[in-house]
Amino acid sequence: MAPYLPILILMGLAFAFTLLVTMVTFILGPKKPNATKLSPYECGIAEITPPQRRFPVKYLVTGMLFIIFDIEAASLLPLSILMKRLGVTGLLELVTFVAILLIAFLYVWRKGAFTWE
Amino acid sequence: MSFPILSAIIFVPLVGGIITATLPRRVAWPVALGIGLIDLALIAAVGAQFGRIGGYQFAEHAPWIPSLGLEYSLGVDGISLFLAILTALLAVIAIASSRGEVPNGQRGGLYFGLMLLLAGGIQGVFLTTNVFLFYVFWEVMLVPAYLLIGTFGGPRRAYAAIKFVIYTAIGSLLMLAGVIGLGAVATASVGHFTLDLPTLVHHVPAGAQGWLFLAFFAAFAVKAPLFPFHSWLPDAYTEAPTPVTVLLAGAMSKTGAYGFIRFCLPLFPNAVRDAAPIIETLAVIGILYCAVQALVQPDFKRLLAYSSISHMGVILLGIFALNAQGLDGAVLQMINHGITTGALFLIAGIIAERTQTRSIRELGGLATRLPMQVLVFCVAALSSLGLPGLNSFAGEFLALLGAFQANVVFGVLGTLVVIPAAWYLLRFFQGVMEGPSPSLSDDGGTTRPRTAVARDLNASDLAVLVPLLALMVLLGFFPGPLPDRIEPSVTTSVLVGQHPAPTTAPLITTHK
Amino acid sequence: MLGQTDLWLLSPEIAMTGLALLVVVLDFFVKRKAIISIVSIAGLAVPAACATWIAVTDNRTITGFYGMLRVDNYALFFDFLFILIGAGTVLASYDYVRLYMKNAGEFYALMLFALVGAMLMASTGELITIYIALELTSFPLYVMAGMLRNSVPGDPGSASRSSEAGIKYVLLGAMSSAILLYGMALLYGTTGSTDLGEIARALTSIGKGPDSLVLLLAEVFIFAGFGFKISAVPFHMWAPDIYQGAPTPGTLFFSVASKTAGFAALIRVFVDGGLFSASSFYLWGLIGVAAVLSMTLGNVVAIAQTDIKRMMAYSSIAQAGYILVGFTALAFNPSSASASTNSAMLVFLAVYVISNIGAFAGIIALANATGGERVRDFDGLVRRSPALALGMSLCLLSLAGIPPFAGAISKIFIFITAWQGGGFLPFIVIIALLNSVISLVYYAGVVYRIFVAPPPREDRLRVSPALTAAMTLSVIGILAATVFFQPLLLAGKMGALDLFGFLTLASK
Repeated sequence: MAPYLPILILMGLAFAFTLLVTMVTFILGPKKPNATKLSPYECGIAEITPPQRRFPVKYLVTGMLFIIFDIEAASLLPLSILMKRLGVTGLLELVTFVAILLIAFLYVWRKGAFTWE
Repeated sequence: MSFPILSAIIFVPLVGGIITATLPRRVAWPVALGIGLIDLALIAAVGAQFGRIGGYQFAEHAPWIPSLGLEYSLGVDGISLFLAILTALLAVIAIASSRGEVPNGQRGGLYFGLMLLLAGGIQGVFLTTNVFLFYVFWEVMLVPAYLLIGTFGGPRRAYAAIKFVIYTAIGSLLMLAGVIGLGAVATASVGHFTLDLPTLVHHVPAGAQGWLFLAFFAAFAVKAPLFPFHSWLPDAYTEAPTPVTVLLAGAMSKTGAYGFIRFCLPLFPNAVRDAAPIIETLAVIGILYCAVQALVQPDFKRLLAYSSISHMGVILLGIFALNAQGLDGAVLQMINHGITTGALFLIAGIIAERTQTRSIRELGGLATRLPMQVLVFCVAALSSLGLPGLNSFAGEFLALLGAFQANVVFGVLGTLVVIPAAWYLLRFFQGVMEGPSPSLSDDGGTTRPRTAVARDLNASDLAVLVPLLALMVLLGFFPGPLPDRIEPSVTTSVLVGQHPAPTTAPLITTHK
Repeated sequence: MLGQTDLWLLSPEIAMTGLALLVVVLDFFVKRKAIISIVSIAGLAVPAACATWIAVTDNRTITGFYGMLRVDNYALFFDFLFILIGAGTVLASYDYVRLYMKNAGEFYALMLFALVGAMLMASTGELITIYIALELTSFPLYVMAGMLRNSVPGDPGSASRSSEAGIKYVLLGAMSSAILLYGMALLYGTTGSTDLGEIARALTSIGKGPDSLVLLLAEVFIFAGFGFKISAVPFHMWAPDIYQGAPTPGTLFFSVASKTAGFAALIRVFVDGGLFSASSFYLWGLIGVAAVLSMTLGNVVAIAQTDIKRMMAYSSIAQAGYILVGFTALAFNPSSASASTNSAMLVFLAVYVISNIGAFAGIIALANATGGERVRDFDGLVRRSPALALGMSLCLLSLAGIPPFAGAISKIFIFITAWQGGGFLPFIVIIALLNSVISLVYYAGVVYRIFVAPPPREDRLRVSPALTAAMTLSVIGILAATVFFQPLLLAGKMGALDLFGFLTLASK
């Protein structure tokens, strides 16, 4: 138990500190609410329709595709830095990886995920 | 290696059954009959070459799953030989007698196929010498019997089939627990995990015998059936089509009693000794209770079912006398019971088919119209009563004698109970065959009397019944060859764990 | 540096991945979906050949990729099992996919990707790889569950049920993954390694005290995480809904692949990681309770089901319970003497897979012909299609454990080996036996309907060649496993011994 004790103390302290700060602002801070302050968009005009509404799933698809390919591309970076040390094996792995990615790209393309309408 | 004749006896009907199940109805009957006859010829060949010694003959061994103790080992001794012959014979008779109508629809191939499968399963039960393999065949019997009752039975077939399955499945699952436990507790003494029956004898520790015996007892008591585990039987026998009933009552019910003899007695001698008085009490109660039940049944097929249980009680009484006479008598009586019950059910089936009723009250006076029927029925009924000169006498006599030697009380009780127990058969005989034909007077003559439409036995009925009748007479006068072969096996492989039998084989000779 | 040996050891998985990619690419260009099915099933020969090649090489190295890959006999046993599952699923799904699904290629590609993950799950000795493999198995399954976009004719709610199944599967799957990952993290925290060999070594020196408590927590979480995959009670709630909602070939695939892969990894982690040796009373007590509950709940609830797929879901829960009986024995007595218990579990899984493929092939065949997936749609099947009726009955009887079929022998084998473990195990075995009787009610109930009940219509059902092939494969498989049980047992034993050999090696 001994090695974990400092961690436990730290957790307790962190929690206590957060609680303290929140309480202090809550107690000491001045509270003068009015209608404008409580409106969702304090700086602009009053809303016309409720802000929650359905948006086309196309956004979602594009967003997800972006994230997927973005992350795959990001994982190429460390590989390219180490390319010299990895040699031919590394290159082959890179090519395999890109080829599989290409198939995925083709798949997405053929499924029509890139056409907006 | 010589020809594996015992395997052939088991697998000819099993494989033949699967093939037959796919055949159309018209072809299925002759094919099934042919397969049955081949099986009968094979087991007859075994019987012809059978030596009059104890122990297993024609033994076959093949490793199947050694790690599980499951070895494919077969063997036949005096006890199983005649039961196997009986099974093959009854299978042929059951198939032969269903030449006409296959009940409930067009699935004739399935019907004959299942019958062969059932016969093959029963043969497997009788011929194996491995406890696990025995369990396997025990379950192989279950499925075709269930489907035969459920698919081709009478109006209450669904109820009867489910009841049959639940009773037997619970029994056999407990037996499975017993099989597993048997292998486990004997491992220490034997040195390795095995379920080979001859190896296991003397290796079951006394402390474990009680529980293991109970586990096996559950399965055998249900199948035998022993009172109060019998209540599935009247429904199953009544609802099943007659040829199936012949196979169930004649052959399958013997597997329970056979299990007691083959497994419980040699493997758990201490437990059996302790339990014997209780089982004998139950057997006596069963004889009497089922006889009384049989007396009041309006349905004559149900009457025969109760009569069958009642007579099985005598066999169990003989077994649990735990001496050579009792066991000899029990085995002998198992054969005789198979023949007699088979014949009685066949006759009842023929009467029911000809008159379209199973009610004793609706019938009467058949004797004047059906002379052949009356003769056949009379012989079978007298055989069932235990008339000297017919087959059942010797077996019943020996079984009760054994019971006397073991315990005078049970001997006396058993004998006293057996005598009035035959009353119901006379009632059946009188009610159906003699007296006036009742439906003439009942409703002003608008319906024709049931008896009027009845026809007497024809050639194909006789072809089925005459062999059974001939056996009844033959075994009545010359029962000797059977005990001669049963006796050595009883002393060498059944009573091994028991106290030495006081006398061996003196009384047998009187029947020669 | 990576060498050729590593790639050689990974070759079955590589081949399977290649096949999956090929199916994806083919789907772009090929119009006839039949070709994709044929390629999928024929292509399975390549990973099978690779696995065979590895299996027949004597004195081969077992570990690759710095110990991450462990291609021992245990792994190979499961490789072959998964390839068999793939073949069975393709055959059973051939018509269904063609009739009711728009995207046949994707279905097969996803299935093959899931198989890659499943094969990896059985053949790694490292926690993170196991986790990744598990996710690789699970993700395609989520998609497959929700793949029925247009309702099957005759069952208008089927598409929405399928979507519901997909969402439920994702959410519960994610939760189970989180639990599993938490358990793995705790295990890593206790032992300082993610390598199962290292973990086993570290655990031999672990004493009583707070660490053993953390260890117990880790074991329970890992068991719970895999418990979802094998659908053991109390982690079974997902199974009925998802089995019912998913397209039937998908259900077939979950019921065999997910369960087999879950057990493969579960046994591997607990045995290879030496978790049992360091475990306390609570662990095998808990596993025993899970086993008893799975069997009892699965069997009892299955009786009341009217939908055949829900019934099969509860049946599969019960079957998981039977395997857990063996796992309890393993937990109770974790010496190499339990190798036979372990091999019993492997053999049981193999037989379960074969029987279940056949049973589902029967369900799919009936659904294709009549559109019905209720238990009472099986009424009088013997008159409408005798061959289908016989095959289906055989598979169900094998699942029920009616001798002499392989299902019974393998079940009894588990029970015998468990019984020999002593202690409280005989009681669990007796409960399991009673459960076998209960299970008879619904398995035999279907058989009863097939043979005895009057058919709704007197017609002949047409069963397509592919489904006939799947059913035949399964029936032959059951019969072969019955007759040649001993060789199957030896294969299982080789796999089991490898695990224990590794354990003794690690503890030195």
